[in-house]
Amino acid sequence: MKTYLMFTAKAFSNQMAYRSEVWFRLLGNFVTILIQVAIWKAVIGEVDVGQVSIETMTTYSILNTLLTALLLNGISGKVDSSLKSGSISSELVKPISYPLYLLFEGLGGSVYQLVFTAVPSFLIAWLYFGIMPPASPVFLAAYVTALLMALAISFLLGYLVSLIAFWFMNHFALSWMLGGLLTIFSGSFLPLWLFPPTWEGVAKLLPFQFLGYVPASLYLGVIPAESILGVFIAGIIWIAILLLIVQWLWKKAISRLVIQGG
Amino acid sequence: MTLPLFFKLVRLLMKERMEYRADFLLSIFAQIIAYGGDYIVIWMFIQRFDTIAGWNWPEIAFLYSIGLFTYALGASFSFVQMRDLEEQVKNGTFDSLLIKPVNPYLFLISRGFNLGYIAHILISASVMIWAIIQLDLKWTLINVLYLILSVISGALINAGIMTLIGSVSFVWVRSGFLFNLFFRLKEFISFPLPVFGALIQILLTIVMPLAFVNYYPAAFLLSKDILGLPTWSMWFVPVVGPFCYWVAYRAWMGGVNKYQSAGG
Repeated sequence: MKTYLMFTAKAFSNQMAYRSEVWFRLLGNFVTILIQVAIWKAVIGEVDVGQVSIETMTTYSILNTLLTALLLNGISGKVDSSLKSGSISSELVKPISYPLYLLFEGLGGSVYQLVFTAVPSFLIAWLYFGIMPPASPVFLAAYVTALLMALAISFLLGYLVSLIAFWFMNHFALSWMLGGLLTIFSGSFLPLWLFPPTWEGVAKLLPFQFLGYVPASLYLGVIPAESILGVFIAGIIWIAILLLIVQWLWKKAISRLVIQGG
Repeated sequence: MTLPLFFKLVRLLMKERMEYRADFLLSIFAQIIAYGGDYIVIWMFIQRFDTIAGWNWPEIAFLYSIGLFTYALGASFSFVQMRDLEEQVKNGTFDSLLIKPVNPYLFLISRGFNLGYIAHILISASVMIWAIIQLDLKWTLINVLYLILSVISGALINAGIMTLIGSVSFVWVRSGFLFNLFFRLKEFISFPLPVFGALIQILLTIVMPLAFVNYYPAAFLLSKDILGLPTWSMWFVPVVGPFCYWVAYRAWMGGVNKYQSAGG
């Protein structure tokens, strides 16, 4: 465990080298929130859609913009470059678990983003746009739990893509596809309750909602208290399914690993 | 870098891509899904709210498609080239470009000419044509000419901004974070400009003229009222792009002259 935490610390301190770019990241987050809030302001008031107030949607936009910074997005790129350079062979002979190494290294990046991007962005957004408090302490606890689930699912999806890339050798294409699915079904901009009914039905059957809609809706208390347990069970089932798939693919991938670099 | 030489290069790049045909097709398919996702989210949004700032779905689809189409055109000869400049400056491999007896800028953008944007072009052109049919626009010769010139100008604005960001590598070495910021800012023009406050509208018109990429041309073609501007002001649109690109090119060449290799 201690070894893995060292990877987390290492990844964190690597990121520290680019501290000066923090300002640009904060500006980037601010811009994204500003755009989303402006769009919500442009339409709310003209149409009464229920469950949508400008305060709700501002908070929803802020939470999701910050969540995006925390998710473990770099996994498939990392595996891809060690596949192409061949350095994966030396990673594999080390007496550590490669997936756990990836997870803990990714978490180092997330912790860095939390401290240097998410928290300052949250404060700026709070001062400039205003953020609603969590619906209740119970919902706050549910939100934090959902954040951890989001981290787990984002890691597993990224890892899944990198394992599929053992066969296709094109992780960019697979990442693009995953990105497209996330754009639609995570609900990180347009919440699921505003989807057309069929699309909402499909989105609720998929794991992508846990990377946008679920955490923010729990924070806001849009998901009723009695449904929280059901949502969490669904999340745990998804994590279990994804874990089984990646375990199985990992065994297959290792046995057909072709080193490209020399 | 003459034109026939450029076309020869494109033919070779095409051949190179087709060596890995399945891979290339997979990439095209993936990017169509990715951008399809953007279209679907905006479509779902408008399903719920009917219009955004008075623009309905075909109008927004038209606006968004001009943005994507011009970005793809501009990026094909600037994004990857300028993004990788950082790495080349860091490793010192950029130096080898300077000893070639050609204009380093033209060589860099032509050598890296990126056919990977074909998917962007396919999806944005298809949606644009669909939107044009839905909108029942009057296609006079002037309008057609105006759309073509606007698209060229929009591509040059995108390419100009990316070239300018690339030239930052000569001074600071790192420039990747500016590309990230650019992609965030580009989101502004996925929606009609009046959605945003006066300050943003001014910034997107004068400081970073992204509004000229798609909003102004689309608004003129769709006969939307822009702050009561007279019709002749629509002809600013085709001029802004070449001007931006020229400024960026000068800055880039200026950067090269100041450049001192970081690699050893």
